[in-house]
Amino acid sequence: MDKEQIKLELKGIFEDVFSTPNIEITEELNAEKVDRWDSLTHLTMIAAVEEFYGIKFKLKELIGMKNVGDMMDLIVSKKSA
Amino acid sequence: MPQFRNQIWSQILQPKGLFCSIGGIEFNWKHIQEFVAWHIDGFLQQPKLRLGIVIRNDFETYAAIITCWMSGKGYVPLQPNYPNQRIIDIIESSQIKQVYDSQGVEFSKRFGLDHIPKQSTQSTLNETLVDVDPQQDAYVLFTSGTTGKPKGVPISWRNLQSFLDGFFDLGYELSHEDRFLQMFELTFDLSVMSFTVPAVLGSSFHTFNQSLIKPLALYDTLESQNITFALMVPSAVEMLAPYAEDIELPHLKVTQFCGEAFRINQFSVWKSCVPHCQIDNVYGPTEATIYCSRYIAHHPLKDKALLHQNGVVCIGQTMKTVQFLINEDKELCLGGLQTTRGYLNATPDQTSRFFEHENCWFYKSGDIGVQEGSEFYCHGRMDDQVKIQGYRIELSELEFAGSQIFENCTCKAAAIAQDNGSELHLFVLDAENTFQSNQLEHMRIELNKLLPDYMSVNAIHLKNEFPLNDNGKIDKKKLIASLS
Repeated sequence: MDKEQIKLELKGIFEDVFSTPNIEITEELNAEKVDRWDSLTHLTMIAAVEEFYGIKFKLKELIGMKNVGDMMDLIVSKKSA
Repeated sequence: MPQFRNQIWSQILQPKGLFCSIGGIEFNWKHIQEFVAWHIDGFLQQPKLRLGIVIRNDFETYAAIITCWMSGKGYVPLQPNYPNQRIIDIIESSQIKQVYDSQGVEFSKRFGLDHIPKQSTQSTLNETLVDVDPQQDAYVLFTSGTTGKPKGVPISWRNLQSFLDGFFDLGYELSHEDRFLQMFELTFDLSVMSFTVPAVLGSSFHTFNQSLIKPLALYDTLESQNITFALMVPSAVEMLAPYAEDIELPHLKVTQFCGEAFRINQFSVWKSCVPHCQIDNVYGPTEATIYCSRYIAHHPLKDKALLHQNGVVCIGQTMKTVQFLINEDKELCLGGLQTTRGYLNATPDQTSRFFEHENCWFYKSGDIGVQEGSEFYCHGRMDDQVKIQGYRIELSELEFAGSQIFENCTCKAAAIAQDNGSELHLFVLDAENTFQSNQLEHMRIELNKLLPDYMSVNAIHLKNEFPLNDNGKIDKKKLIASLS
């Protein structure tokens, strides 16, 4: 899967879930950099990403996910599995 | 009296093993001994019996609370992130003049307090502790007051010792090897149990970085720290529900749930995750010291039917020194040695929350109580009892009916004032988008078939998430505000 394509798709999901326009998706992006990204919206975002790509993350994968780059790697590996 | 100070003191004098881990970083009892030796004279020299402790999620803050207790003083936790006016109200109400802050003197300067410094030399620790008057405070916590000013709840040494006597009477098999979860902010009294019980046992507690994604950090701590005893709020489990099949916690022996209604759907999720673990529902407000009743909802060796009413798990029987009484308004009154003597600087209205009955001191909890045999049930807040067209309605009953229609989803009901009287609204927590908005009208009709006419629900709102307050409880005000 093309990472640039994933970035574009995540941009739509993030802007919707975090009710924030013009979020720039980078691999380093994490909860500290978006105001409305907290415990609650994090799980909503995860559920939205899972639904969009038709995948399911493991709890351990969620715990290990430190930024958007980690999430994109997981999406790629799950989609190509 | 109080014995628990001496028990903690003997752990400090003969330090063995782990005291705590904070975000995965470990501190031993030896570190506590060292901290106490550098600080206790500074605490002892303070003239006031109550000292402020600025709460940071670090080892020094916990060490300062222990040192404060060992010096015979009570502590008042000060949350630096609170608005200035709230901090000022707390300082004035509790009349504290000295404060400890692990981050330096900036906070004490800002509020005109004296900073309790580290000494220039270490003290030699004596075998015996200074005496305390059991009526004096071990801590004072502040809760929201209806007057707009925070209400100070003083908990005496006797109150806290009575809680600990009650706790150790509950029959848990605990030792210095147990590992306790501490997931609460130090302004919330469930934190007191989470670090004091391990301190008495000479075992350890484990906490995590509050700024992380909370349910994930919680699970990570339970798993990676091999937690054996966890006191949690039910909402925490609910957030982990979508990942229930991934949960593996073989070390966990006991989970206690407290702080809000423990619903049967939350119980079922948790039991399926940790079938080998005892699951208890504990109940009680700050005014009756941490918690004061306990119900064993699941015991891995004793299979029995779960007691519940309106979809909420039974709150069980009173602890050792506690008495419950249900008054003519159905209000649950909590009496005995755990009950605070009353609020600091109480208004007449606040004073009237307390009364003496047959030589026992009671607090009117504001909760609706029901007794069946020796077991008690809580039917929610008296404030949640609303009157519509003259009928008295318990919102918890409505919420239970809602969860039956919406496949065990957690529901919150609210009476919302409209021009032509109040309307009943139901909020449904549908995290996984199970329901569609075009089904709602049909489901509302189905729901109302379960309810008497006067309890008919006017509107249903699906929510992906429920707003929570800092302690992880559902924030109903924010939930209602989300409609406007």
